[in-house]
Amino acid sequence: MDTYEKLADPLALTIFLLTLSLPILIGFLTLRRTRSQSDFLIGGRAMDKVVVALSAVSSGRSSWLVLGVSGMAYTMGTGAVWAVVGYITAELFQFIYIGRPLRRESERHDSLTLLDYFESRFQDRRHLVRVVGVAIIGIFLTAYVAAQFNAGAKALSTALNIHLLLALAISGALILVYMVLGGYIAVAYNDVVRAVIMIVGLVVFPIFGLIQVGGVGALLSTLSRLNPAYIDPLSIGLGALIGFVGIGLGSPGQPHIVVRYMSVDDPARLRSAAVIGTFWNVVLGWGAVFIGLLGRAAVQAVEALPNQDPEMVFLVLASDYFGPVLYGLLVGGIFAAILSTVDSQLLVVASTFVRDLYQKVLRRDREVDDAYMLKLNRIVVIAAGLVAMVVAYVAQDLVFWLVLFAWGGLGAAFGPALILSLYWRRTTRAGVVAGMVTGAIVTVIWKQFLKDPTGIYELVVSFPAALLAIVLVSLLHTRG
Amino acid sequence: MLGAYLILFALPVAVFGLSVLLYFLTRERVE
Repeated sequence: MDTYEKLADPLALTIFLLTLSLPILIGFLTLRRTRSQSDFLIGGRAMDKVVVALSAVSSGRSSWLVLGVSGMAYTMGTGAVWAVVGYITAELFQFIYIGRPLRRESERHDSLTLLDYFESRFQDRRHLVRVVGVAIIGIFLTAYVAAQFNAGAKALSTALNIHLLLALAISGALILVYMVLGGYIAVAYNDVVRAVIMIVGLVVFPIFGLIQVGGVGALLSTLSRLNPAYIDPLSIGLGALIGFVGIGLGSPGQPHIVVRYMSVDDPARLRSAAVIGTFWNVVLGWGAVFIGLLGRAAVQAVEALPNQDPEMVFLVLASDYFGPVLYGLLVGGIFAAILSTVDSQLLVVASTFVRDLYQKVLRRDREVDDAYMLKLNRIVVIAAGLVAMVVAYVAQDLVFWLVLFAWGGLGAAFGPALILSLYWRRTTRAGVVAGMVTGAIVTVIWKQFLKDPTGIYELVVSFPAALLAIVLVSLLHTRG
Repeated sequence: MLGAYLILFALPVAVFGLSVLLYFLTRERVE
């Protein structure tokens, strides 16, 4: 079964290609607003609360939500809801309790990146926090970008029946053009457009499906007949439940998410952004779960799905339910979901090398012209994008191995450090460095060797381990 | 069945309700 066969319809293909190329138009529209490095990296701290809310939601959720969560709901039933509860709640608190103070501090010290903030918070003239942070972001986030490039290109190559290399080049070109033009502003406005497309996919879709199956009662009865565990939210077991909710522990440490809070025009508006973002997150998350449940009712044997892959349920149902216009939009929406995370992360990777490494470490004693820095950011976005694409093609195994640790590694390295730096005055530079290293290493070791034997999700261990490391080293450091 | 209804309908409302609650609880007083 070819899940993309409907794209042969000229109308569906046109809508699909328009959805893919819309971001470039937005890039041109935002070009005039991007006049400084601050504009390019954090929108000049002048972004509207709605844009910040939807951008945080959209760039935080990749294709994992559309394909992964619907696949989980297909496999395990209503218990998949626990996978969305954790991060939605975490991000709600983040907007208010991390976003607001971080935004204030970052303006006070003119911080343009998360590592800028850490350095000024700890008056780290030796740049230790920055250098360790650059290494962690360089490894995990580059792998993240490369893996998503690869996944996006593979899907595009199947959808359009073109060679993987060409698909990779198209995906790269689609992102890099608008990123170079409008930087963060283009990325954020594109996130808004994608959030709207995702809403269409994850709201209209389930409503349509529920009408088709005869309502929620009929859906749950069908699922119950197939397997009573599908309608028991606790059937996944306590360990899996804690692990699912623990996914949310990774959110405060994702540099591409927290940088969004730094971009809002007024920190007080992050309260409204929290309500808007949570509404969107809830609708998208539960929408994805409903699609998986509807998919199980419609395609009862996993063998009937392409490649026997539960993550194909979204595409199969889209092909079954919709005509060319909505189908083209929804398939375009999947690519949009993938790209919405890639561009945000790629911008952080570029800022890490240009702002954090070059300007603040290598050229620390010299005045650097802002126009030059803006130009350099644009060049490095292209260079980093090209490197990520090459890595995605030639080192697939390494990329897919590394990306397994990316969410947890970044989450444990930066989350506890950020929270304690904002709320515990005795946090020291040495403590934060110890926490970053502990978080990253414990994540890798736990996931590689101990997750399977224990059944415990890595962040549930590495996050508290990093917190503990920061507290202990900070206390020892202060006494010493 | 009740668990399914709760997790599919009551929980999302509760999470969104929490965001509205936090909005009001974290209002800053203007001096």
